[in-house]
Amino acid sequence: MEKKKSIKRRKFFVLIGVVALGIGWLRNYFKPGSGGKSRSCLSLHPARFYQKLFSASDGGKQ
Amino acid sequence: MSKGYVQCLLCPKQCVLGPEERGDCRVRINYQGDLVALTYGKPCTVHKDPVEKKPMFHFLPGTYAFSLATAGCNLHCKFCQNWEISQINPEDAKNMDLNPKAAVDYALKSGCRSIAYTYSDPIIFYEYTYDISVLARKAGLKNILVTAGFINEKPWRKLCEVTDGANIDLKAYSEDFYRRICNGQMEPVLNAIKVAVEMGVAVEITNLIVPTLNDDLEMIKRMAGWILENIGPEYPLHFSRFFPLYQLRGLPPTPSETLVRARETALGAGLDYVYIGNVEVEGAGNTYCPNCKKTLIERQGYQVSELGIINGACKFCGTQIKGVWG
Repeated sequence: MEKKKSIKRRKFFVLIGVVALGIGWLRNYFKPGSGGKSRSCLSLHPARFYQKLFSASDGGKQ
Repeated sequence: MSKGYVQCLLCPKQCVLGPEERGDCRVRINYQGDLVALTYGKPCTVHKDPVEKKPMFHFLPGTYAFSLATAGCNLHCKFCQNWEISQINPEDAKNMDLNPKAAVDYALKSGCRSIAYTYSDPIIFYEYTYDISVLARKAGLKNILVTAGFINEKPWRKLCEVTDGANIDLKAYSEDFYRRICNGQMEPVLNAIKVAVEMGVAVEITNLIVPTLNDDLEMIKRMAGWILENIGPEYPLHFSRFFPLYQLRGLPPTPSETLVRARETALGAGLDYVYIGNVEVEGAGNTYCPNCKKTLIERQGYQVSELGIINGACKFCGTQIKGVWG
């Protein structure tokens, strides 16, 4: 009886651990900019002070 | 040159970018044949700082500056004290959404008198800085640039039109130092200092002294001489202490004595206001009247405990003190 209880308790803690790890992983996965590869944290705002360059056949610099 | 290339004309590096290529600053990219700024409205750092932290000692002393920065930089100083944000790609930073209007609203709500574009370098988030600055001016806030001043003259003049104060980093009075240690050039920086002064910006200069690299007193004397000759003795100069970071972790922090000697050298060369930063040296953070030598502003760290300036002049002898005081 006592042994059964102990196994149950151990299973319960293992389950809690697995759930905690899962939540941690999911939070990290969906964190904006995590892993440094997401571009959603960037803008594509027009910059100033630049010029377009074309080949000589296109008439040179614009 | 094949079609689709663009050249960034913002800073003296003038990067030529093929399709999808980024500039040396990491934040300006050739996107479908047009140059775009990746960090517009995406600061990675936002703080409310004492204006003395910038450091700006002659600019609304005792007030706060709403301070923000984005990732990236167009210089790559081996001693960078903010390398965690300046030497990374913007997508590797934790950025927030903060459009120019929201930035101004936050600054007002938090009781700041100014907005400081700082930590990395506002030059690389030029458009963001400019747009906030326009709105900030309308809202009665002042604008402060904390910059290395490595920018082409045309965009710099335009930015100075909406700028009230600037702390410009003069990293050393040596072209060789700029090329070897910072991956930049000194001449455009000297020009930026002159242009800012000419356009009425309240300029202060910072020189971070790195042991063995730019602590030569002869060089410091020449730097002070250049300041004296080209802009005048009334512009504050800050000598700042280096801490071993980024690629120069093998060097020791700047000894206080080195900073004290540098200050004495610059004062001896004829500059009126020379300060020491990043370390407590008694009296070296105070503002003294260049005429009667009395203490006008006493500083302990970022705490300002006395103000002896009335209507921009020394309250004891009436000498005008350069700065923005009210």
